[in-house]
Amino acid sequence: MIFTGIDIGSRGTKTVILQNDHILASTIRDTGPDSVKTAYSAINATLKDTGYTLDDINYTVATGYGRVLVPFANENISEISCHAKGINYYYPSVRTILDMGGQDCKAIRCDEKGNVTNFVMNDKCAGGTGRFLEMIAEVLNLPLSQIGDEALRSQRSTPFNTICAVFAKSEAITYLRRGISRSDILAGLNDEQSRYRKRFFHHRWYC
Amino acid sequence: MITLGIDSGSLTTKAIVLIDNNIAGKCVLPTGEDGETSARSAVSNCLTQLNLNPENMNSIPVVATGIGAKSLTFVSQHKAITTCLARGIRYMLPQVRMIIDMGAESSTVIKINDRGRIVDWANHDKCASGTGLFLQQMAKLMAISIEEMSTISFKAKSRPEITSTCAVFAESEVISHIHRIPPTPMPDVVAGIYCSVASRILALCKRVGIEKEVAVTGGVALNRGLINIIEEEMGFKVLIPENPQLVAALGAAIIAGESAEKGIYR
Repeated sequence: MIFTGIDIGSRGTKTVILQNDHILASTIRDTGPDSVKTAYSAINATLKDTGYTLDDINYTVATGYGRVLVPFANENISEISCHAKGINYYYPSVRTILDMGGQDCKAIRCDEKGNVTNFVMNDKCAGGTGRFLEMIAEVLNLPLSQIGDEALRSQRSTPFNTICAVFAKSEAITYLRRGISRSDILAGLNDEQSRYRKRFFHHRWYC
Repeated sequence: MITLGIDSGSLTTKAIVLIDNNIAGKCVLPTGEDGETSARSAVSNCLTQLNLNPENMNSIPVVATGIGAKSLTFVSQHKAITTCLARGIRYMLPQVRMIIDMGAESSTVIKINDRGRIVDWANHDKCASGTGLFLQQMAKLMAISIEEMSTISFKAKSRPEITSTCAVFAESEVISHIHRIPPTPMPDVVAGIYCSVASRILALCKRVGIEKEVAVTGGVALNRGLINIIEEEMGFKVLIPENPQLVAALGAAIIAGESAEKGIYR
């Protein structure tokens, strides 16, 4: 039996093909403006080296914010439920998932079977999302893939007082002009983002 | 008596000189990197306008307000921005009971009574939504100036809803409006942006309860297009003082005069 899962996210589209509970193939690509087109090209790219075609797939579940736009999906399921099931595949002992996506951030509680028991979400503000990191990488003139390592080289993190992407961007520019290193700026931003997430989830969880 | 008021904002520094309670000199400068330097040059600029020697700065009572006030070393006193705005608006438009101050990085709503005392206030400075910086970013995105934005907004035929609160997400919404087939006309997009700012401001006003007359201050008050939409949303006309961005500095200068008379300092 061959099953596929396709996650059309706000920034990236992810596809996985499962054969007898084993991952046969997977791809990640940018979502782009046309989700239907992206869905087809993503599934075809994933199938490419497997020797199967779209007709061989027994069942497809689409998830993510663009899930309704997948023409070949048998079912649409919210990314929250899919996250819980997915993490259960890898780590059945996990009970809390922190999902940090392109344009939102969620915390999900799940049980031993991978069923969702509770979740909180921030999709109102770009603070602490992938989008935020993209903006900062651009300001610091670094490729997105390098900002993690760069932050770890920091000697002394620079304090940031805001989680707002717009304010943080102008603060980062000010620090750059003052000659503060990119790694210290990144470390400061990471500190503030972590604090913010912790505050946000704690507050929402116990409300 | 000569007194000075400084409002050290996040984007601009404003200074005002009062001579016997009359506005004698004023100056607006970009704040730049260092608040102290720009505050000093704003003050020097005001004093030279009046043929006064800037060296005499130390003998004049100075009150500072705004986000950068605490870092200024040459001032006699710091005052909260709300206090200064209330005092400044009472001088310019005594009939006002509610001030909407729209700055570059924050919005504040202040309710005052008939004696000019603050009754209640609410403020938003956590994020860029609904601030001057938000408008600036949108102008940059559409490659037009803030002034042009204001002018074309009057030609809007409809107002597409910009649903995102966050400036970053609103930007994506605006981009999709521009690239839509057929594209949403530019004036309509601008009107949509103004509507989203107006609704943010209105929500802040409702937190303290709207009371007439309402005045709008701060640099954003110079944006006629936005004011027009705020007035529509409110359902009545608002008052815009002359030089709306200088109201807090004016209030600071008035307070400097009062304190000097009481002999509090210098």
